[in-house]
Amino acid sequence: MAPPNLQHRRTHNLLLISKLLNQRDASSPFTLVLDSLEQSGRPLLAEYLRRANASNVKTIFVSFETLRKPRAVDLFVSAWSQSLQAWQKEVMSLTKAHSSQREHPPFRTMRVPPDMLIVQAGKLLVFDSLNSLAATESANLPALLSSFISPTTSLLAVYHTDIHGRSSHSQENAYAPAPLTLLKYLATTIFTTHSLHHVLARKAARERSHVEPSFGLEEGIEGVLQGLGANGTNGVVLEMEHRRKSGRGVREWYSLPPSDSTSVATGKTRENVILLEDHPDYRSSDATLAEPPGGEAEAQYTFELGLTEKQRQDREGVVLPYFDAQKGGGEGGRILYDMGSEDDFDEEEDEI
Amino acid sequence: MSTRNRIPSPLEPYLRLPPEASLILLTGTLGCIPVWLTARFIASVLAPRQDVASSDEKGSATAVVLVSWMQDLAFWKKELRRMAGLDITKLVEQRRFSFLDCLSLHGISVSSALEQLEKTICDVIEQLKNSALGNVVLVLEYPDTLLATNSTTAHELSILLLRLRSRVRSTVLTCAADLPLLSATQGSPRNSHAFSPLETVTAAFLTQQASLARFVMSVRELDTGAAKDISGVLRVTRGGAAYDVDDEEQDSSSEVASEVDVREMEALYLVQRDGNVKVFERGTESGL
Repeated sequence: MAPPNLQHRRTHNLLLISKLLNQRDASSPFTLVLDSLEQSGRPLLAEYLRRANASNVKTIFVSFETLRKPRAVDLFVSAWSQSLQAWQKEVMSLTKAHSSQREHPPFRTMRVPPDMLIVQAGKLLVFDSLNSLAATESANLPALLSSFISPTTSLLAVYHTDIHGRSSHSQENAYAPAPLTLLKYLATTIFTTHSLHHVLARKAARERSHVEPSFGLEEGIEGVLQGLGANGTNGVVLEMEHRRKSGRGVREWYSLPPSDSTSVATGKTRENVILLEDHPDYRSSDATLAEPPGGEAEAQYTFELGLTEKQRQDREGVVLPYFDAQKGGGEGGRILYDMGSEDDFDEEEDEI
Repeated sequence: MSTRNRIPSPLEPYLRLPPEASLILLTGTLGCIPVWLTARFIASVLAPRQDVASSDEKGSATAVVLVSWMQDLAFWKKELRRMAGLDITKLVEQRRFSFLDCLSLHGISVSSALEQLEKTICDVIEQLKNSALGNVVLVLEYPDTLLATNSTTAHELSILLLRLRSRVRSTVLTCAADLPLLSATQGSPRNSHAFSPLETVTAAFLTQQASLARFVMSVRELDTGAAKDISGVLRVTRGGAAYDVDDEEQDSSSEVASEVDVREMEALYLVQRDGNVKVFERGTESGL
């Protein structure tokens, strides 16, 4: 039963992530990206910005720790150098200003389908780190964030999970929930980023019933800040939790390949996100990280010992004779015998 | 400048002049301090660059502002001469190097230290900027001392760093990454307890800077203890900002300084008595 189920899940969840990343139909007003030192959320932000550019969504980048304006961003607010009120005002005015400007869509109206028009009016507000905000404004964080969200503006915010929530030991908010808990509650979609290298290494260990390795800060080695394989160049693993309007949650693991310049150049976005299970390195269970596919064991023989995918499928598809006898139980002993053409039936033999 | 090539060849790609607006984090532990690495960074930045000199005379001029919360000028004078063959006095005269001793500066006024400090550092940067035409590299050695002396919070310190970083070409930051200073992170085994304020601020500061860094070079002691022919382990990992630079490279491939992709590595190193450093793979001979 597994293959059709997976097929269904694949189509369904790939559509969902494509909808989320393209910010279609205001599918997720508040997207929270939880990243760590082992895997930064930057590639995911870049992917969002790239798609926003492709579909003419205005992007406003509110920086709390970024020095230079990323290339793909339309408007840049350096919130770190300003007071809370100042940048709040600036962001507000930017979101307002552009919604009025956008009401008269310029030429090209003929070519875009109707649903694209709604997207055109949209804006994507990106916060590069909520940590400092959570530390200073933990009490009114929900109100502050929801004041930015509107039907046309969706919010994408990063939170570094390594940094421990409680920074102040003040008495007054001893009973308040931790900022991360609040944010997780507020968010409509949560992406947790993982390093592909680490995910593969953990899977390899799991399959051999070894203890799963830990990386970076979890290693607990003096002087180690990041593990080897952190922030790898060959893609990011995303753990998604999306809450539908009905309240039902969808969880899925995806693999986001590194953004290559060719897809940017061609413009039209072909979906490049795949399920983690479909990632070639993740799928092949016997190909471990360290040894290449053609390992030592295979090299010793001149003939092929393994099975190809088709051979294995064919083999699984073979229905063994008397298969139904294994299912039917409880009838006691029963002899199933088909007469062959060369068998000659001897009536007397039964009577002996 | 020394005639000998004092930069170990495996480290060469990392020690080049960093791309603009980048941050590089060097971390050490109590038993293993990255002074040799800092010295080589300074030497590499100040070294005459053959690749650019021919194309653009002005762009090749670089200067270093070294701000230390740990060592004084006499120490660095000695170390830079021993480790990298640099003559500080001459460089100061050429207005290519400036040293700020925050160890003693800090002692004078604790309360108003931060604003005072920022102004002092900015003044020094501006002075050098005129002669180096903008290519100033700021080296901050152990500014986390400010957290330890309770003169600032992690948030304020990172804002101060952002302000300083916006004035220079790139920044090299040295921090202590001992286990107790990182215990207040989410990944650590004991994260349910209440942490002391110092644990919280240092962990918050360090992890934030690591997520902003282009790459992190951390030195630590050998897991198996002290050894005669190995000083420690050097690990280079890609920080959170490694992706930003990669994106830029795709667009402007002509930029010479930033064309190197950051590769992670781990190697052993040995600081010899004469100040030379050998960097070698695990399992290979150190050449002694």
